[in-house]
Amino acid sequence: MTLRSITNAVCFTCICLYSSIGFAQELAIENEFETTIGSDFFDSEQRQRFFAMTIGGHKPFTSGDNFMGKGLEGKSGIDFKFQMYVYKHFFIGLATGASYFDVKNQELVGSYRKSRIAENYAYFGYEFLPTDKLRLGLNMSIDGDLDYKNTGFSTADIAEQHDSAKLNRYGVYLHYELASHFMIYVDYAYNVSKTNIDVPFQLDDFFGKGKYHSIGVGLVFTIGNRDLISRFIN
Amino acid sequence: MTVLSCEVQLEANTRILVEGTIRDQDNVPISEAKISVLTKRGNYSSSENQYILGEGYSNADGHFSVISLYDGDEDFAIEIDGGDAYSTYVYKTNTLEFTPLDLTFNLETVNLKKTATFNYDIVRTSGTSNTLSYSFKYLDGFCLEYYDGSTLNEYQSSCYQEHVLGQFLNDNNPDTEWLFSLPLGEVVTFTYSINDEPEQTEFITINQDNYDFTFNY
Repeated sequence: MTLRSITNAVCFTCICLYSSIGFAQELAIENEFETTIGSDFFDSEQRQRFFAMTIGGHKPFTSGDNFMGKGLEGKSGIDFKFQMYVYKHFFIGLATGASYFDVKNQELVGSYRKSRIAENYAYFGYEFLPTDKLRLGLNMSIDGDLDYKNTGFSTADIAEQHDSAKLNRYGVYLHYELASHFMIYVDYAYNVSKTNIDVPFQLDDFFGKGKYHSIGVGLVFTIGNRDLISRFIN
Repeated sequence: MTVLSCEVQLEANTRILVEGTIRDQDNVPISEAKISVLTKRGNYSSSENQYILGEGYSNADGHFSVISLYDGDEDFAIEIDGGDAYSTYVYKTNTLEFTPLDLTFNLETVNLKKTATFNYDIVRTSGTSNTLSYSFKYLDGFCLEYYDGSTLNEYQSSCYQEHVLGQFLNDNNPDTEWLFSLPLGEVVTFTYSINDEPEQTEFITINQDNYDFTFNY
């Protein structure tokens, strides 16, 4: 993840926050005349949203008998997500982020000390409403790319080396509503990295897949009170 | 303006495996020998640069299996360093022209020689104006094998080569002491001439790890 993309994401966050406040004020006026509808686990018209934007950080944890589990140790990470509610609480989204690792065993991966994985993926999922303040979401990546930038060589003449992979990601999150359009979240994700690394056949299993978990926290800003399809149907 | 860069570009999405077994001249496995995969190493006993792509150590059976990054380069090397007690071995090849199809460099069995340190001390005891011209001829503890694909290129290899170390001692510099390393069991040829008289030669068999040699003239 580049500085430019981080800057763009932060700007985007500010715009969304500004819009979110504007929408909230506008909708509060409209809702004064609406009948209160109680929360339901699967659906709540009152708590319906159009867009949600999240910004946060996470801690990655490698696992398994693979090059990540044996060779890398998770340090930190950042996440930016933008998801749209297509119909009721079914959503699709785009995410970008990065996870940072230290190399704990150079004999297993090569002579570098750090690895940064840039993560870009699309995802879909569904959001449940267990209580008045909580939103429980399940999501799964549709298509994702990972770029490993390996750095920290014994000489400055080797700046970096790159590996690439496809990402399969399965996640769950919990949003707590501090205000109608502003929440905090905790999330967990299980990530499987299917690498494109060419290795001797006896290392296929070891380098073919890397696995890591991530636990994150952050902020959520939402916009709008109707899903995409309902805007056309109703 | 063109800027020349020395930056090394490593192959993306590639790992190689370097494996083999290390033994000494008595066929005893050598453990804890350091295996380094290098690029742009040079041809001398001490490497010119430290472009390390992968590192590992041999186990108790002398076996090693090192996963490394890879660089297509005319100067690709695998160095095996047995420490101060053993000779050093270097495998070299041109990976611009040769990359194993299975991405495995199997060095099979690499034999390192036990090394000894030869310490010499030469002292003038005969008084001023006497001179000494001397030389030591010995085999060094370094072996570089250059391969074209899987074929050894003897012309570009240099394995346990003969070295000559000599000096002329006079009133300005009557005494000297120094040391060098060589394989244990080898013979050092000591040739000297006092006051330009005919040369004398002694053959010294190195039969201990630290061999002290003193010569007075």
